[in-house]
Amino acid sequence: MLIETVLSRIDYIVTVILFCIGLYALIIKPNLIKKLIGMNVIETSVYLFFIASADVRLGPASWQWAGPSEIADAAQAARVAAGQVALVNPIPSALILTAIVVSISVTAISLALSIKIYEHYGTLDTRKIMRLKG
Amino acid sequence: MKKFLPAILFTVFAFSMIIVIMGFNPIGDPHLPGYADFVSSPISKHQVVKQADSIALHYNRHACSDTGAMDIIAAIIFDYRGYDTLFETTVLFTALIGVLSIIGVKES
Repeated sequence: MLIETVLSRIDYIVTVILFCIGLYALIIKPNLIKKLIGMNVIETSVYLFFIASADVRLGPASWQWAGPSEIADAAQAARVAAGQVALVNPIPSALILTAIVVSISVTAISLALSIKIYEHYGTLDTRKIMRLKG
Repeated sequence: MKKFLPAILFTVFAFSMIIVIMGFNPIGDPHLPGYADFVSSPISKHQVVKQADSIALHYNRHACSDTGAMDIIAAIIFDYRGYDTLFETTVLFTALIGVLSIIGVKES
């Protein structure tokens, strides 16, 4: 029973493990670049969570079903139009495409700041940067 | 001991999150939020359930015929949420301005 409960939510559990790995790197690692890698791992886990929550078992994905005029199987198209077959939910995929742009922007700004920090302090180790004080 | 303390803490954190996740719907269940209007419960029988109109179902049924796109996600990104995608480029170029003002452009 527990095994079945776990296996039916295995994507969410992988998401949680990825999130914790990213959070570990973000908090514990002293190197700024490794912190940024951890931040990106956290973002990836959130993407995975959204995409996994969009899945509908046995339902075709949106790119497998290109509208009633394009589909090879006419009976499947009729069933989709009648609401008897569930397609995969397309909205989380669209939202994640938006979120990827934001995460790329955040990563770019952070890397630029890291370059400036390295030029100014000569190190990316946050422990040494805290000690140096200007 | 001090070296293993963070690992123990993060393991406890992960287990608490997994306990929360055990209350979610299983993966692929049509009772997920976008499909909350499904009526019947077993996963394998959702071919025969009735479903009311939610926004995801509306997109799935009418996106391709409304917009003429080949893909539902492309129809959502570039047609239904076209202004959102347009101002995403604002975010991207603002980040570009930020990077250029932090690093600076080298004059040769």
